[in-house]
Amino acid sequence: MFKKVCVIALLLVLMTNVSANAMDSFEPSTVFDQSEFEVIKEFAVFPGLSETTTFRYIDGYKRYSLNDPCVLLQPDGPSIKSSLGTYSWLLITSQSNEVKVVNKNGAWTASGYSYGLSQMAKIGVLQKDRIINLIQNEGIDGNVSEMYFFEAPMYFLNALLVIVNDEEYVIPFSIRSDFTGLEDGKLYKRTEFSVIMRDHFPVQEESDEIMYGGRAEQLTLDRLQEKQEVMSSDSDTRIVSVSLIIVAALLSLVATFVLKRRKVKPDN
Amino acid sequence: MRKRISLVVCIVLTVVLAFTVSVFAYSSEVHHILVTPVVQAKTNWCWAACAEMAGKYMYSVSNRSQYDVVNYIKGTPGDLYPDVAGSIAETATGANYITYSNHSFSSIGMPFSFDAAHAALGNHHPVLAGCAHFTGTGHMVTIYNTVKVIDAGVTYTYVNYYDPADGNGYVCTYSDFCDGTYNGYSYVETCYVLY
Repeated sequence: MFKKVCVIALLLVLMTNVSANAMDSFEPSTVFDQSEFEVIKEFAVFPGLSETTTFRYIDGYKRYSLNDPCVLLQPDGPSIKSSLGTYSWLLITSQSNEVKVVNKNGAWTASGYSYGLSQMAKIGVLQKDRIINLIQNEGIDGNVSEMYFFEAPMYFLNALLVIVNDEEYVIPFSIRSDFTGLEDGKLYKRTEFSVIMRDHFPVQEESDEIMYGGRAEQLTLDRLQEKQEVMSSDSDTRIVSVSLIIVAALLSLVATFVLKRRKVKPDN
Repeated sequence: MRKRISLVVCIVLTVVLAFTVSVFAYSSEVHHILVTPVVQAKTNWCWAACAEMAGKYMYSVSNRSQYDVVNYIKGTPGDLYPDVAGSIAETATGANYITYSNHSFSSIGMPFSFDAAHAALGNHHPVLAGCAHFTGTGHMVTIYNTVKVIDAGVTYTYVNYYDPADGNGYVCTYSDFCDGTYNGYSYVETCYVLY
Protein backbone atom coordinates (compact mmCIF):
# COMPACT_ATOMS: atom_id res chain seq x y z
CA MET A 1 0.00 0.00 0.00
CA PHE A 2 2.77 2.38 1.02
CA LYS A 3 4.64 1.55 -2.20
CA LYS A 4 1.56 2.31 -4.30
CA VAL A 5 1.08 5.66 -2.59
CA CYS A 6 4.76 6.51 -3.16
CA VAL A 7 4.54 5.59 -6.85
CA ILE A 8 1.37 7.64 -7.35
CA ALA A 9 2.90 10.60 -5.51
CA LEU A 10 6.03 10.32 -7.63
CA LEU A 11 3.99 10.19 -10.82
CA LEU A 12 1.97 13.22 -9.75
CA VAL A 13 5.14 15.20 -9.01
CA LEU A 14 6.60 14.19 -12.37
CA MET A 15 3.40 15.11 -14.26
CA THR A 16 3.21 18.49 -12.51
CA ASN A 17 6.81 19.25 -13.39
CA VAL A 18 6.34 18.21 -17.00
CA SER A 19 3.25 20.41 -17.29
CA ALA A 20 4.99 23.38 -15.65
CA ASN A 21 8.04 22.97 -17.81
CA ALA A 22 5.90 22.80 -20.91
CA MET A 23 4.35 26.18 -20.04
CA ASP A 24 7.61 27.72 -18.86
CA SER A 25 9.28 26.84 -22.10
CA PHE A 26 6.30 27.99 -24.16
CA GLU A 27 7.85 30.89 -25.97
CA PRO A 28 6.56 30.72 -29.52
CA SER A 29 8.70 32.28 -32.18
CA THR A 30 5.75 34.51 -33.07
CA VAL A 31 6.42 36.45 -29.87
CA PHE A 32 9.91 35.73 -28.60
CA ASP A 33 12.81 34.48 -30.64
CA GLN A 34 16.17 34.75 -28.96
CA SER A 35 18.23 33.98 -32.04
CA GLU A 36 16.36 36.52 -34.18
CA PHE A 37 16.57 39.03 -31.32
CA GLU A 38 20.36 38.74 -31.34
CA VAL A 39 20.36 39.52 -35.05
CA ILE A 40 17.85 42.37 -34.85
CA LYS A 41 19.87 44.12 -32.13
CA GLU A 42 22.57 44.79 -34.68
CA PHE A 43 20.16 46.86 -36.79
CA ALA A 44 18.94 49.01 -33.91
CA VAL A 45 21.18 51.98 -34.60
CA PHE A 46 20.31 55.63 -35.06
CA PRO A 47 23.10 57.44 -36.91
CA GLY A 48 23.84 60.82 -35.39
CA LEU A 49 21.70 60.41 -32.25
CA SER A 50 24.27 60.46 -29.48
CA GLU A 51 21.94 59.29 -26.70
CA THR A 52 21.34 56.02 -28.51
CA THR A 53 25.01 55.04 -28.41
CA THR A 54 24.53 54.03 -24.76
CA PHE A 55 21.51 51.82 -25.50
CA ARG A 56 21.96 48.30 -24.18
CA TYR A 57 19.30 45.88 -25.36
CA ILE A 58 18.12 43.50 -22.65
CA ASP A 59 14.95 42.02 -24.11
CA GLY A 60 12.70 42.13 -27.13
CA TYR A 61 9.46 40.94 -28.61
CA LYS A 62 7.61 40.89 -31.88
CA ARG A 63 4.49 42.98 -32.36
CA TYR A 64 2.05 42.54 -35.21
CA SER A 65 0.01 45.20 -36.93
CA LEU A 66 -3.61 44.54 -37.86
CA ASN A 67 -4.76 44.78 -41.45
CA ASP A 68 -8.28 45.48 -40.30
CA PRO A 69 -8.34 46.74 -36.70
CA CYS A 70 -12.13 47.08 -36.87
CA VAL A 71 -12.40 43.32 -36.23
CA LEU A 72 -11.61 44.12 -32.60
CA LEU A 73 -15.01 45.81 -32.33
CA GLN A 74 -16.90 42.92 -33.89
CA PRO A 75 -17.79 40.21 -31.38
CA ASP A 76 -19.08 37.98 -34.15
CA GLY A 77 -16.67 39.18 -36.80
CA PRO A 78 -13.72 37.47 -38.40
CA SER A 79 -10.96 36.12 -36.18
CA ILE A 80 -8.34 38.53 -34.96
CA LYS A 81 -5.68 36.17 -36.25
CA SER A 82 -7.01 36.53 -39.78
CA SER A 83 -6.29 40.27 -39.57
CA LEU A 84 -2.68 39.97 -38.41
CA GLY A 85 -0.31 41.77 -40.72
CA THR A 86 3.44 42.11 -40.59
CA TYR A 87 5.45 42.27 -37.40
CA SER A 88 8.10 44.61 -36.15
CA TRP A 89 10.52 44.19 -33.27
CA LEU A 90 10.34 46.13 -30.04
CA LEU A 91 13.65 46.07 -28.22
CA ILE A 92 13.87 46.99 -24.56
CA THR A 93 16.89 48.93 -23.38
CA SER A 94 18.37 48.99 -19.89
CA GLN A 95 17.41 52.69 -19.83
CA SER A 96 13.72 51.76 -20.32
CA ASN A 97 13.40 52.77 -23.93
CA GLU A 98 11.41 50.73 -26.39
CA VAL A 99 13.12 50.73 -29.76
CA LYS A 100 11.13 49.80 -32.83
CA VAL A 101 12.94 47.97 -35.60
CA VAL A 102 10.95 47.48 -38.79
CA ASN A 103 11.37 45.48 -41.94
CA LYS A 104 11.41 47.73 -44.97
CA ASN A 105 11.75 46.12 -48.35
CA GLY A 106 13.34 43.06 -46.80
CA ALA A 107 15.85 44.94 -44.67
CA TRP A 108 15.58 45.55 -40.92
CA THR A 109 16.03 49.16 -39.93
CA ALA A 110 15.62 51.22 -36.76
CA SER A 111 12.50 53.35 -36.91
CA GLY A 112 12.27 55.14 -33.56
CA TYR A 113 11.96 54.72 -29.83
CA SER A 114 9.99 55.83 -26.81
CA TYR A 115 11.03 57.34 -23.52
CA GLY A 116 9.59 54.87 -21.07
CA LEU A 117 8.11 51.42 -21.55
CA SER A 118 4.65 50.51 -22.72
CA GLN A 119 2.35 48.50 -20.48
CA MET A 120 2.96 45.56 -22.78
CA ALA A 121 6.67 45.73 -22.17
CA LYS A 122 6.27 46.22 -18.44
CA ILE A 123 3.83 43.37 -17.94
CA GLY A 124 3.67 41.38 -21.12
CA VAL A 125 7.29 40.91 -21.90
CA LEU A 126 9.36 41.58 -18.85
CA GLN A 127 7.02 39.49 -16.71
CA LYS A 128 6.48 36.43 -18.86
CA ASP A 129 5.77 34.36 -15.75
CA ARG A 130 2.67 36.43 -15.11
CA ILE A 131 1.21 35.51 -18.48
CA ILE A 132 2.03 31.86 -18.01
CA ASN A 133 0.38 31.88 -14.57
CA LEU A 134 -2.64 33.65 -15.99
CA ILE A 135 -3.15 31.04 -18.68
CA GLN A 136 -2.62 28.22 -16.20
CA ASN A 137 -5.07 29.76 -13.72
CA GLU A 138 -7.72 29.85 -16.42
CA GLY A 139 -7.23 26.13 -16.82
CA ILE A 140 -6.17 26.36 -20.42
CA ASP A 141 -2.56 25.37 -19.96
CA GLY A 142 -1.02 22.78 -22.18
CA ASN A 143 -3.28 23.56 -25.11
CA VAL A 144 -2.02 26.97 -26.11
CA SER A 145 -1.26 26.57 -29.76
CA GLU A 146 -0.42 30.11 -30.80
CA MET A 147 0.40 33.48 -29.29
CA TYR A 148 0.79 36.89 -30.92
CA PHE A 149 1.30 40.40 -29.62
CA PHE A 150 -0.53 42.96 -31.69
CA GLU A 151 -1.09 46.70 -31.65
CA ALA A 152 -4.13 48.85 -32.36
CA PRO A 153 -3.06 52.42 -31.60
CA MET A 154 -6.39 53.89 -32.72
CA TYR A 155 -7.96 52.01 -29.81
CA PHE A 156 -5.14 52.85 -27.38
CA LEU A 157 -4.39 49.16 -27.25
CA ASN A 158 -1.61 46.61 -27.33
CA ALA A 159 -2.63 43.06 -26.60
CA LEU A 160 -1.62 39.45 -26.55
CA LEU A 161 -3.71 37.11 -28.67
CA VAL A 162 -3.78 33.58 -27.28
CA ILE A 163 -5.26 30.74 -29.28
CA VAL A 164 -6.39 27.65 -27.42
CA ASN A 165 -8.18 24.86 -29.22
CA ASP A 166 -9.05 27.27 -32.03
CA GLU A 167 -10.64 29.67 -29.52
CA GLU A 168 -9.26 33.22 -29.33
CA TYR A 169 -8.44 34.90 -26.03
CA VAL A 170 -7.09 38.41 -25.57
CA ILE A 171 -4.88 39.80 -22.82
CA PRO A 172 -4.92 43.62 -23.17
CA PHE A 173 -2.15 46.00 -22.20
CA SER A 174 -3.87 49.30 -22.86
CA ILE A 175 -2.17 52.60 -23.47
CA ARG A 176 -5.21 54.04 -21.69
CA SER A 177 -7.26 51.45 -19.84
CA ASP A 178 -9.68 54.24 -18.83
CA PHE A 179 -10.53 54.58 -22.53
CA THR A 180 -10.79 50.90 -23.41
CA GLY A 181 -12.62 49.71 -20.31
CA LEU A 182 -10.33 46.70 -20.24
CA GLU A 183 -8.22 45.52 -17.35
CA ASP A 184 -4.55 45.24 -18.15
CA GLY A 185 -3.14 41.75 -17.99
CA LYS A 186 -6.56 40.08 -17.65
CA LEU A 187 -7.52 37.19 -19.92
CA TYR A 188 -10.68 37.90 -21.94
CA LYS A 189 -12.60 35.60 -24.23
CA ARG A 190 -12.68 37.14 -27.70
CA THR A 191 -16.42 37.86 -27.64
CA GLU A 192 -16.31 39.45 -24.20
CA PHE A 193 -13.30 41.55 -25.29
CA SER A 194 -14.94 42.80 -28.49
CA VAL A 195 -18.21 43.70 -26.77
CA ILE A 196 -16.33 45.93 -24.31
CA MET A 197 -14.29 47.48 -27.12
CA ARG A 198 -17.35 48.14 -29.26
CA ASP A 199 -19.10 49.86 -26.37
CA HIS A 200 -16.12 52.12 -25.70
CA PHE A 201 -15.47 53.16 -29.30
CA PRO A 202 -18.73 54.27 -30.87
CA VAL A 203 -18.56 55.53 -34.43
CA GLN A 204 -18.19 59.30 -34.63
CA GLU A 205 -20.29 61.57 -36.80
CA GLU A 206 -19.45 61.63 -40.48
CA SER A 207 -17.27 64.45 -41.70
CA ASP A 208 -15.67 65.57 -44.93
CA GLU A 209 -12.57 66.58 -43.02
CA ILE A 210 -10.06 64.39 -41.24
CA MET A 211 -11.12 64.46 -37.62
CA TYR A 212 -8.44 63.99 -34.99
CA GLY A 213 -9.23 61.98 -31.94
CA GLY A 214 -11.74 59.44 -32.97
CA ARG A 215 -13.08 57.19 -35.62
CA ALA A 216 -13.93 59.12 -38.74
CA GLU A 217 -15.18 57.99 -42.08
CA GLN A 218 -12.90 55.83 -44.17
CA LEU A 219 -10.13 57.85 -45.74
CA THR A 220 -9.20 56.60 -49.11
CA LEU A 221 -5.63 55.53 -49.54
CA ASP A 222 -5.51 57.75 -52.62
CA ARG A 223 -6.23 60.78 -50.50
CA LEU A 224 -3.49 59.87 -48.04
CA GLN A 225 -1.02 59.26 -50.82
CA GLU A 226 -1.97 62.55 -52.43
CA LYS A 227 -1.10 64.37 -49.23
CA GLN A 228 2.12 62.48 -48.72
CA GLU A 229 3.42 63.42 -52.14
CA VAL A 230 4.04 66.85 -50.68
CA MET A 231 6.55 65.49 -48.22
CA SER A 232 10.04 66.72 -48.70
CA SER A 233 12.46 64.44 -50.46
CA ASP A 234 15.59 63.46 -48.59
CA SER A 235 18.25 66.05 -48.74
CA ASP A 236 20.94 63.50 -49.72
CA THR A 237 20.50 64.45 -53.32
CA ARG A 238 20.91 68.09 -52.40
CA ILE A 239 24.30 67.40 -50.83
CA VAL A 240 25.50 65.56 -53.90
CA SER A 241 24.25 68.44 -56.06
CA VAL A 242 26.07 71.01 -53.94
CA SER A 243 29.29 69.01 -54.21
CA LEU A 244 28.96 68.81 -57.96
CA ILE A 245 28.29 72.54 -58.21
CA ILE A 246 31.43 73.27 -56.15
CA VAL A 247 33.52 70.97 -58.36
CA ALA A 248 32.10 72.54 -61.50
CA ALA A 249 32.73 76.06 -60.20
CA LEU A 250 36.32 75.30 -59.27
CA LEU A 251 36.97 73.62 -62.61
CA SER A 252 35.56 76.66 -64.41
CA LEU A 253 37.84 78.94 -62.42
CA VAL A 254 40.89 76.82 -63.23
CA ALA A 255 39.96 76.66 -66.92
CA THR A 256 39.36 80.42 -67.07
CA PHE A 257 42.69 81.04 -65.36
CA VAL A 258 44.56 78.77 -67.81
CA LEU A 259 42.86 80.28 -70.85
CA LYS A 260 43.66 83.79 -69.70
CA ARG A 261 47.32 82.90 -69.22
CA ARG A 262 47.45 81.42 -72.69
CA LYS A 263 46.04 84.61 -74.16
CA VAL A 264 48.47 86.81 -72.26
CA LYS A 265 51.49 84.61 -73.10
CA PRO A 266 50.88 82.98 -76.46
CA ASP A 267 53.11 80.02 -77.32
CA ASN A 268 56.09 80.89 -79.45
CA MET B 1 54.19 70.13 -71.05
CA ARG B 2 54.72 71.56 -67.57
CA LYS B 3 51.57 73.61 -67.99
CA ARG B 4 49.54 70.56 -68.84
CA ILE B 5 50.86 68.66 -65.83
CA SER B 6 50.06 71.63 -63.61
CA LEU B 7 46.58 71.78 -65.05
CA VAL B 8 45.93 68.08 -64.45
CA VAL B 9 47.29 68.27 -60.90
CA CYS B 10 45.15 71.30 -60.27
CA ILE B 11 42.01 69.59 -61.52
CA VAL B 12 42.67 66.41 -59.55
CA LEU B 13 43.32 68.38 -56.38
CA THR B 14 40.15 70.36 -56.89
CA VAL B 15 38.04 67.26 -57.37
CA VAL B 16 39.59 65.50 -54.38
CA LEU B 17 39.13 68.57 -52.21
CA ALA B 18 35.51 69.01 -53.20
CA PHE B 19 34.59 65.40 -52.51
CA THR B 20 36.58 65.26 -49.28
CA VAL B 21 34.62 68.19 -47.93
CA SER B 22 31.28 66.53 -48.63
CA VAL B 23 32.23 62.98 -47.65
CA PHE B 24 33.87 63.70 -44.32
CA ALA B 25 31.74 66.64 -43.25
CA TYR B 26 29.77 66.07 -40.05
CA SER B 27 27.23 68.43 -38.68
CA SER B 28 24.41 68.05 -36.22
CA GLU B 29 21.70 70.60 -35.64
CA VAL B 30 19.10 70.21 -32.90
CA HIS B 31 16.10 72.49 -32.52
CA HIS B 32 14.41 71.92 -29.20
CA ILE B 33 11.65 73.75 -27.39
CA LEU B 34 10.45 73.11 -23.86
CA VAL B 35 6.87 72.05 -24.44
CA THR B 36 5.07 70.64 -21.40
CA PRO B 37 3.34 67.37 -22.35
CA VAL B 38 -0.42 67.19 -21.83
CA VAL B 39 -2.36 63.94 -21.59
CA GLN B 40 -5.70 63.95 -23.34
CA ALA B 41 -8.56 63.76 -20.85
CA LYS B 42 -11.02 61.96 -23.10
CA THR B 43 -10.84 59.43 -25.91
CA ASN B 44 -11.27 61.96 -28.74
CA TRP B 45 -9.46 64.94 -27.28
CA CYS B 46 -5.98 64.52 -28.74
CA TRP B 47 -6.51 67.67 -30.82
CA ALA B 48 -7.55 69.72 -27.79
CA ALA B 49 -4.61 68.40 -25.73
CA CYS B 50 -2.25 69.35 -28.57
CA ALA B 51 -3.84 72.79 -28.78
CA GLU B 52 -3.16 73.18 -25.06
CA MET B 53 0.47 72.03 -25.46
CA ALA B 54 1.18 74.47 -28.28
CA GLY B 55 -0.89 77.32 -26.90
CA LYS B 56 0.67 77.15 -23.46
CA TYR B 57 4.15 76.99 -24.93
CA MET B 58 3.45 80.25 -26.77
CA TYR B 59 1.57 81.84 -23.88
CA SER B 60 2.66 80.18 -20.68
CA VAL B 61 0.56 82.35 -18.34
CA SER B 62 -2.65 81.01 -19.87
CA ASN B 63 -5.13 79.49 -17.47
CA ARG B 64 -7.05 77.72 -20.20
CA SER B 65 -6.89 74.00 -20.80
CA GLN B 66 -8.12 71.32 -23.19
CA TYR B 67 -11.48 71.41 -21.38
CA ASP B 68 -11.85 75.11 -22.22
CA VAL B 69 -10.92 74.43 -25.85
CA VAL B 70 -13.54 71.71 -26.22
CA ASN B 71 -16.15 73.79 -24.44
CA TYR B 72 -15.38 76.83 -26.63
CA ILE B 73 -15.47 74.95 -29.95
CA LYS B 74 -17.70 71.95 -29.39
CA GLY B 75 -19.64 72.60 -26.22
CA THR B 76 -23.41 72.77 -26.16
CA PRO B 77 -25.76 73.75 -23.33
CA GLY B 78 -26.59 70.09 -22.93
CA ASP B 79 -23.03 68.88 -23.04
CA LEU B 80 -20.32 71.33 -22.09
CA TYR B 81 -17.46 68.93 -22.71
CA PRO B 82 -18.47 66.44 -25.40
CA ASP B 83 -16.03 63.66 -26.19
CA VAL B 84 -15.69 64.49 -29.88
CA ALA B 85 -12.87 64.73 -32.40
CA GLY B 86 -11.69 68.00 -33.94
CA SER B 87 -10.38 69.08 -37.31
CA ILE B 88 -7.00 70.68 -38.00
CA ALA B 89 -8.67 74.09 -38.35
CA GLU B 90 -10.47 73.63 -35.03
CA THR B 91 -7.14 72.75 -33.45
CA ALA B 92 -5.71 76.07 -34.66
CA THR B 93 -8.75 77.88 -33.28
CA GLY B 94 -8.32 76.05 -30.01
CA ALA B 95 -4.65 76.97 -29.76
CA ASN B 96 -5.52 80.62 -30.45
CA TYR B 97 -8.08 80.41 -27.68
CA ILE B 98 -5.49 79.05 -25.24
CA THR B 99 -3.31 82.12 -25.91
CA TYR B 100 -6.27 84.55 -25.51
CA SER B 101 -5.47 85.51 -29.12
CA ASN B 102 -2.07 86.87 -28.12
CA HIS B 103 -0.66 84.53 -30.75
CA SER B 104 -2.08 83.26 -33.98
CA PHE B 105 -2.16 79.68 -35.21
CA SER B 106 -3.11 78.50 -38.65
CA SER B 107 -3.46 75.15 -40.39
CA ILE B 108 -2.63 73.64 -43.71
CA GLY B 109 -3.93 70.46 -45.30
CA MET B 110 -0.51 68.97 -45.88
CA PRO B 111 2.52 67.92 -43.86
CA PHE B 112 5.44 70.25 -43.25
CA SER B 113 8.65 69.21 -44.93
CA PHE B 114 11.38 68.36 -42.45
CA ASP B 115 13.11 71.64 -43.19
CA ALA B 116 9.90 73.58 -42.58
CA ALA B 117 9.32 71.84 -39.24
CA HIS B 118 12.98 72.30 -38.33
CA ALA B 119 12.76 76.00 -39.17
CA ALA B 120 9.55 76.42 -37.17
CA LEU B 121 11.16 74.91 -34.07
CA GLY B 122 14.23 77.04 -34.73
CA ASN B 123 11.89 80.01 -34.40
CA HIS B 124 10.59 78.55 -31.11
CA HIS B 125 7.27 77.60 -32.66
CA PRO B 126 5.78 74.17 -31.91
CA VAL B 127 4.34 72.13 -34.76
CA LEU B 128 1.16 70.09 -34.41
CA ALA B 129 1.07 67.11 -36.73
CA GLY B 130 -2.27 65.74 -37.82
CA CYS B 131 -1.84 62.05 -38.57
CA ALA B 132 -4.27 59.64 -40.20
CA HIS B 133 -4.62 55.88 -40.10
CA PHE B 134 -5.88 54.07 -43.17
CA THR B 135 -8.97 53.02 -41.24
CA GLY B 136 -10.06 56.65 -41.04
CA THR B 137 -8.87 57.27 -37.52
CA GLY B 138 -7.10 60.57 -36.94
CA HIS B 139 -4.62 61.37 -34.23
CA MET B 140 -2.62 64.46 -33.39
CA VAL B 141 0.78 64.84 -31.77
CA THR B 142 3.03 67.77 -30.85
CA ILE B 143 6.52 68.01 -32.34
CA TYR B 144 8.94 69.62 -29.87
CA ASN B 145 12.34 68.63 -31.19
CA THR B 146 13.98 68.11 -34.57
CA VAL B 147 17.44 66.78 -35.31
CA LYS B 148 19.32 67.10 -38.57
CA VAL B 149 22.58 65.22 -38.86
CA ILE B 150 24.86 65.22 -41.88
CA ASP B 151 27.43 62.50 -41.69
CA ALA B 152 29.68 61.34 -44.51
CA GLY B 153 27.48 63.00 -47.06
CA VAL B 154 24.27 61.45 -45.82
CA THR B 155 21.55 63.44 -44.07
CA TYR B 156 19.59 61.90 -41.18
CA THR B 157 16.49 63.63 -39.90
CA TYR B 158 14.59 62.86 -36.71
CA VAL B 159 11.58 64.29 -34.92
CA ASN B 160 10.63 64.08 -31.25
CA TYR B 161 7.00 64.39 -30.38
CA TYR B 162 4.67 64.17 -27.44
CA ASP B 163 1.74 61.84 -27.86
CA PRO B 164 -1.24 63.13 -25.86
CA ALA B 165 -2.56 59.56 -25.61
CA ASP B 166 -0.03 58.81 -22.89
CA GLY B 167 2.00 62.03 -22.56
CA ASN B 168 5.16 60.13 -23.46
CA GLY B 169 7.91 61.41 -25.68
CA TYR B 170 8.84 59.51 -28.83
CA VAL B 171 11.65 59.85 -31.34
CA CYS B 172 11.66 58.54 -34.88
CA THR B 173 13.07 59.18 -38.29
CA TYR B 174 11.20 61.89 -40.14
CA SER B 175 10.40 59.59 -43.07
CA ASP B 176 8.94 56.91 -40.76
CA PHE B 177 6.95 59.60 -38.99
CA CYS B 178 5.48 60.71 -42.31
CA ASP B 179 4.61 57.34 -43.81
CA GLY B 180 3.29 55.79 -40.61
CA THR B 181 6.01 53.18 -40.26
CA TYR B 182 6.77 54.17 -36.69
CA ASN B 183 3.42 54.76 -35.03
CA GLY B 184 0.92 53.51 -37.58
CA TYR B 185 -0.31 56.97 -38.54
CA SER B 186 0.68 58.94 -41.65
CA TYR B 187 1.44 62.61 -41.17
CA VAL B 188 -1.04 64.48 -43.39
CA GLU B 189 -1.89 67.92 -42.00
CA THR B 190 -0.24 70.65 -39.95
CA CYS B 191 -1.26 73.24 -37.40
CA TYR B 192 1.44 75.87 -36.96
CA VAL B 193 2.21 79.24 -35.39
CA LEU B 194 1.84 82.38 -37.50
CA TYR B 195 3.13 84.75 -34.83
